Amino acid sequence: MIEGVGIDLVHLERVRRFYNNHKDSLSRFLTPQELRAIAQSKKKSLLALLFALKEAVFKALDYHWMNWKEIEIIHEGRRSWRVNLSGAMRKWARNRRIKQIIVDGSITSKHAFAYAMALKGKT
Amino acid sequence: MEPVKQKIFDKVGECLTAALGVDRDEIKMESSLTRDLGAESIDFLDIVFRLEKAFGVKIPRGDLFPENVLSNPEFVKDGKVTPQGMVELKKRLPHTNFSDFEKEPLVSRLADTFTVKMIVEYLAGRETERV
Repeated sequence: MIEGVGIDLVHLERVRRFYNNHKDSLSRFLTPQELRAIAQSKKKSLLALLFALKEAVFKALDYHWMNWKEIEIIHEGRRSWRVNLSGAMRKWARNRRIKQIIVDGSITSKHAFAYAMALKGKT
Repeated sequence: MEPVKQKIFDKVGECLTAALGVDRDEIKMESSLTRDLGAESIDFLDIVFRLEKAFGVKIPRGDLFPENVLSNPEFVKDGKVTPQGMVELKKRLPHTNFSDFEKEPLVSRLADTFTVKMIVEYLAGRETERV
């Protein structure tokens, strides 16, 4: 059963400016695994996509504040992502009986787009 | 406005102009970051990092904007912050004025309460701590 759906659109230029100003602070809102993925990625737009994916998950969970590091998103292959929740976000999802979160995204020349779907388990 | 707070307000204005791409004269003490200045999630990170550099302080997670209060089911029920939740928000964010929010404490409206004044009050408090 679908509990929530979230979509998000991020301007690549906005993220590029952000990165140029704060590249030393990425570890404050990305997990070590996400940081490794960005360092290894040939696509400079991966950071923008991660922003969009995380934001989409927040929306799908109907959570109204950003605990960036508590939503980890790992790319596992072509169109395959794993979402790991921790801390307050995990507690929030558990209270809402969320069993699975499906995400995907896409990058164009100007934007990163993402959607997330939170699926509820049997009660 | 007290000279100290005016000085802080001027510096905060520079940070917000750079982060949000708004004109300096759009930024007033009572401006809501989201409703009036159009801040989105990435902007809140940008604002915090810029404030840290401009003021030479470290702003710990949850210190300026709330974290983890809203995930507690005792503090949020049916999309509204409970009286217990309000007590917690006020305790964690003493620099924030919740008087309008309390009249209709919808969680979805919480970000609207984050104003320029809130940032100025927070940084003024940090200045006092340092002295």
